[in-house]
Amino acid sequence: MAGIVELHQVVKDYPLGKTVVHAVRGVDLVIEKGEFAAIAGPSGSGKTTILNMIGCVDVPTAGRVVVDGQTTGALSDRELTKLRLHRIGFIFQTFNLINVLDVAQNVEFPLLLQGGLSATDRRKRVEDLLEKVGLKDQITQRPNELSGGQRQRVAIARALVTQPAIVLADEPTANLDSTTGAAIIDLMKELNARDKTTFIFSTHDHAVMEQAQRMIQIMDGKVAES
Amino acid sequence: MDVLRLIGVLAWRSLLAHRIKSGFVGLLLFSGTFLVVTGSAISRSVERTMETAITGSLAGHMQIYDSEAPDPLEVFGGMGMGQADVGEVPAFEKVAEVLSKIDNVDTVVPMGITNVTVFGRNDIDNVLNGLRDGVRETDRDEIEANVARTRSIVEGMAAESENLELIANESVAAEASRKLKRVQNPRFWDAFAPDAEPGDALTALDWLDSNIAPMASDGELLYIRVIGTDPAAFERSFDKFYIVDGQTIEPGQRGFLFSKRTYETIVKNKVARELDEVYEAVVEDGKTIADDDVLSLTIERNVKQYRRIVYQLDPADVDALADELAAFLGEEADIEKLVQSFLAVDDSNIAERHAWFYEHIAPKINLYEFPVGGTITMRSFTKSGYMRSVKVPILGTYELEGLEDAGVEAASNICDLVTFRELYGKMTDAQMAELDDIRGSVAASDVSRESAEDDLFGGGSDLVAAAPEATFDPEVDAAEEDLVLDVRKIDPNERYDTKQLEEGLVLSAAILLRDPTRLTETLAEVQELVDREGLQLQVIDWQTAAGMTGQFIVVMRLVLFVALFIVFLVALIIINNAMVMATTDRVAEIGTMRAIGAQRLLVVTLFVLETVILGLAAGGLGAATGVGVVKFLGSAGIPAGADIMVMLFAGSALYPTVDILDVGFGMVVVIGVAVLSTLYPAALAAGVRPVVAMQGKE
Repeated sequence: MAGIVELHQVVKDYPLGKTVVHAVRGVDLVIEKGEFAAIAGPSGSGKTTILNMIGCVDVPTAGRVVVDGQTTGALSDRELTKLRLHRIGFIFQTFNLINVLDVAQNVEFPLLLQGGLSATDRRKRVEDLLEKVGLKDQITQRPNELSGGQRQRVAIARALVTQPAIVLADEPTANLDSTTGAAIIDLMKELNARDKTTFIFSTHDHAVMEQAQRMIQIMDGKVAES
Repeated sequence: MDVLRLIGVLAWRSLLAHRIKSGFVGLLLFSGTFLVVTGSAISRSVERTMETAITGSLAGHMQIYDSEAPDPLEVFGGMGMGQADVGEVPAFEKVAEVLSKIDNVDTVVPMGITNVTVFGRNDIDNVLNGLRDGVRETDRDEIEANVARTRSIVEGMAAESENLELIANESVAAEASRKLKRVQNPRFWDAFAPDAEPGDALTALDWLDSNIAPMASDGELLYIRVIGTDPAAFERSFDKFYIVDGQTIEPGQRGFLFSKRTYETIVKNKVARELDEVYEAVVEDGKTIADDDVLSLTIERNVKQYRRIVYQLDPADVDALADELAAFLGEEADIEKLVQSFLAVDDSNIAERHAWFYEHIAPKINLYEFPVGGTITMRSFTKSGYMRSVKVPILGTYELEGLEDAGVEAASNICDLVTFRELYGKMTDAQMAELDDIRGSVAASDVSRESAEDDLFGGGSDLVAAAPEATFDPEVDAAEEDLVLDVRKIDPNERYDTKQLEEGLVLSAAILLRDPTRLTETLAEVQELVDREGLQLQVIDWQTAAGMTGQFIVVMRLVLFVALFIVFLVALIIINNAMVMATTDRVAEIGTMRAIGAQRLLVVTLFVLETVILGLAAGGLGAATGVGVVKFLGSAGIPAGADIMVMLFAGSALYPTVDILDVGFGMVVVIGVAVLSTLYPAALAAGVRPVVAMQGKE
């Protein structure tokens, strides 16, 4: 059975001044649907680059990345955007909420981009999710009125609102204290267990790694252990 | 729809979130719209008032003239004094007939504009005329008074003859000095004594006429602009026209009307004119003589011109005025000294003396060199290049309502078309017959250039045996000109057939429309019709016909557009920079939106929408402020600073109005500029890669 994410001999080079940084040097990786996988490795190991390619915000220099059956290198920017919108949810290290929108609007944003749902359906889905992440009472607040943990919960709600096939989390706990971080991981795990949504997250926090169902260790742009 | 609403919310909140940037860009857009709305309102108002002034005073809505004319027709005159050659319209009746077929044409007024010269009389001419009258009627008092005045003028000339030595060559100066010495000798004046031989006085007068009078320098040569027209039609068609003094030119009457402006600035006694000038500067404009070099010099010059007053006084008035002046000034002196000290005005007494001048001095002198009721001799070069003079009665002065202070632009004088044709060189049938008679009597005949040699010297085989008075004789030609072209004096009671106004030669015609809003359409219609009829004519609108003045609005609009262009170019660059900086600040936000699935178009829409909202808000405020300011100016009025402004404003102030068009124009421009200035930043924003959302770690 084909994985929801497949990387075949993936290479990614970045120009950096006059030199070239070989960030990813031939990675083969398959992630199955419903996995709760952590990509771990020291800073500069290439784990974020791999995550970016899985998230379709970047394409490989060589090799093939297949996300939900589509080879990303062959897609246009417009098609990649569409793929991200419909199939991928993002959770960022720095939360990346839109500060001028309130909590509900932030969560609703991807639904509006997708279109198709009525205002009532959207509202219901947003409220259900916010209840699930424990922010029902903060629905009309602006992100800058929330704590870091609360913001990341909003981000999780936003990532899940479109019912994506994959949720990518780039060091989701890096800017949180350990207790809050643990709570966030617990939440992610719970959602993974219930909805069978595939979670892929990068981290270099051991406590977080321990929670992962599968560990993919990256070292010098290569998979060291999977 | 929902997405658009979301973008709207995002745009609005982003504007609020970036208050400083929004405020700054908003201020620029506000100022820009304000400028556009007020500028456009004022320039359109000027255009409207100018149209009223021009169409209602001289030009009409259109002018029609020779399509082969070498020079363009400028009814208010071009820049120089030169005479423009606007060709001819040989048969006005044909033009009138053709134009009558067009519904929108209301009236057609025949016109011929020309420049004429008029010789101002000098004082000695006036005095010698008085002396001649006295001699003719043996009026001893008149003779003695005028002898005394002539001698005093001669003394003045002798005193000034030293200056002549500076500008003339030695022999001329010596000749002048010899002539003046002869008149300064008391024995010269014996000719006018009661016991002199009859005839001596007239001989002496002739000598004075031919030798002394030409030496007086103050007989000015005046250049004036004259419009020959059908006076009744002119008055009927141009509603701004009104008579100030005297009367209008009646149908069939020969006559001349001075424009009040020409009358006041050229014809009026120079001392009075300069006194007026100082009075206006001090009393009306609030200047002070002590601080103003130009005014001080004017007064200094005016004091030296006291003779323009003294020489004009009737002998009987000399003593009376001397007494009045002595009492007024509180000093005893002769009349010359008194007038000089009277004219040496200062800040404290100018108002009082100005009034005193008009009450006591003006009635005793010829305040205007050409009084209403008198005559004027106009000279002009005819088309064939010889000088022609016509002497016509001055019937009055006229003014154009609202344009009283408009300067030379409104200063064309008016005469009847028949007189104009004589000056222009167009002869009536009677005159042609008279010329033919003269030609017959001197055996003159026309010689064409091509056959001149044969005609003059006899070409071919048929040699004419006797050609007594040879056809080419300059003496004879000169004699002929003298006979025909001497000053033609018009009897004030002479009448012509008014049918002459409806046919024959004109230089142009003013066309007045029933519905001026259809000008462009009617212009094309007229041009098409005259072309079809084979008339060699061109039609121009009032703005073109007004020449330099008409072009002013074009220049004004150009200046406005250039100014607005610069303002908006600067605004564009500043807004662009501000937005580019804002984009840099918002890279993470944009990257996030892109990462979670927003297409590039959404980002561009968001950025453009932000400036459009800002443009609508700030532009709306700017437009509202502009409307307010124009409304205020509309009730307070913008005063016309210079003469040309009076013409443009059709009055001493402009009361601008604002129209929905101005607001619409302002808003369109400001939104256009706002969008244009956002395109680059928006493109930059759209180029933000979603991957940046993931950055800031590792």
